[in-house]
Amino acid sequence: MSRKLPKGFEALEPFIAIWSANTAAQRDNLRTTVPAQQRAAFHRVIAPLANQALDQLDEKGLANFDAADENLMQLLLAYAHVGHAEEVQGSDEAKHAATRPRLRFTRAPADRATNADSLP
Amino acid sequence: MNAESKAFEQVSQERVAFLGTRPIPAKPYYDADWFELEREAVFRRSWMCVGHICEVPEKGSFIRRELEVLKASLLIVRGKDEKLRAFHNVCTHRGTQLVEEAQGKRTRFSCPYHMWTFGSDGELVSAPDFEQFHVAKEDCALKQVALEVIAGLIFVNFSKEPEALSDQLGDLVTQMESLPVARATTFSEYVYEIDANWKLTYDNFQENYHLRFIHPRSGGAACGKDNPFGYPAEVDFHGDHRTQTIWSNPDASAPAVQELGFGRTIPAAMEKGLLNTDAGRKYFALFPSFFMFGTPVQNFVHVVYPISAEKSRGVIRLYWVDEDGSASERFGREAIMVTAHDVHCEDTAVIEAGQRGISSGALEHIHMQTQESLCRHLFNVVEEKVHAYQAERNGS
Ligand code: FES
Ligand SMILES: [Fe+2]
Repeated sequence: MSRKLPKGFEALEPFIAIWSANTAAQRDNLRTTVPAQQRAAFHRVIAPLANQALDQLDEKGLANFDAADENLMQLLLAYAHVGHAEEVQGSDEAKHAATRPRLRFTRAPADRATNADSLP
Repeated sequence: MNAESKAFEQVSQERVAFLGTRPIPAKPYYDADWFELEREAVFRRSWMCVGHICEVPEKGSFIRRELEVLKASLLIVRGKDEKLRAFHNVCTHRGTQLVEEAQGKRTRFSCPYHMWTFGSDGELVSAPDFEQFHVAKEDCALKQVALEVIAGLIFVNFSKEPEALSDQLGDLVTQMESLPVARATTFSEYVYEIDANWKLTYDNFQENYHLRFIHPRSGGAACGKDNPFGYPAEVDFHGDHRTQTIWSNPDASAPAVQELGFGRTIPAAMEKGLLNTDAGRKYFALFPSFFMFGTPVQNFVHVVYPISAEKSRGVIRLYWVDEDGSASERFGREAIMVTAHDVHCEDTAVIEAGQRGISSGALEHIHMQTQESLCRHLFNVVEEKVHAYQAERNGS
């Protein structure tokens, strides 16, 4: 059986199902809709691993990613959003979440299925 | 502390005295008649940013852009001669909009109605049964709009013979050209619609007075002990355009996710020579409704497009050089985008609250302090143009 994440990052496995997404818009939406406790639990595990995970993925190189590396990358991209909820907004996150749908993400380099250009 | 850090000194009233100190009339921020005047006096005669050259990289690449304020649909096309042109997306036979797709690549543009077909240089190439017409093909080319590229950004102007934007900008051109946007190959983007006048919306992003109240968490690093409001270190005026230099808080510390985000993009940015700019703390406010922040690892452009007197939309883009080269760059770009987005999200509700208050007609005037002088400058320039247009119309 092939592993879901690179060796050393097994602790993140339970989070793959929830936090993998194709686009920044979806990640933003996950930040908003996943219950606060679950979001905090993910943050507690990924925040201390992020630096090391990036080092390891950099070593490997984007072109050589296997499925496990790709899963780890997706979790890191989710951390880019969740980290702002937990580390920047803190107890204001629920209030902040209400403002976010107004500014729709339409494109990001990390998007796997790129949206059509948004300018009408 | 390094040798360069010195106590913050705010912009003095003398520096901006030429702008006056009068209260600003409220009506131009909601009045539909005033907005009609602005359409002609401001937007039909000013350079407006509609995109970036990385969107039209090859011969035949095109983008379609709507400018509601001028009721215009534009087609920006790279011709087979490599030249970039802007046309009205309007068939010259009987006016049908030519292209529906937002972007693509084509050598010919055929009108769906009667199949008039135009080349990528706008010339009418063929038209069925053309012998029956009473006009020459040469006179049926697509209607062109002036286009200028500065720092990779595509600007258009609907005047017949506009003063070149580069002439208006002078030294600012070199500064803009020194930023990643000038070499960008891709970008992140988010968009919004807002129930607010374009000036009221735009003004929110050219004053820092509100930072500590509206962005207590996301804007923390912008304010500091000797500059509690995060006021700019400098402001400058360049004709209709203006800039401010963002103050750097020497004591600022960022949360881990932001430190990781910015930190992880720096090695690649350094390698690409993107950090060699003097414009890194500059915030460019180009008339009428364009912003660009110069920070090389968060080089964003924000354009406010008017829709009506009390409705606008905004497009914010962070420009990047090259596709993601590593996991670090991919993560960093996402995190840096979220950092900017988190701040911008906090502004919309309060801008709309301001619009509701102003639109009620309760106020004849609004007030602007010395550190809101960029907002005052914008109003002065708009008013001057509207008055000149009215005088022109009245033949005086
Ligand atoms: S209107 Fe376009 S071909 Fe007739
Ligand atoms: Fe703001």
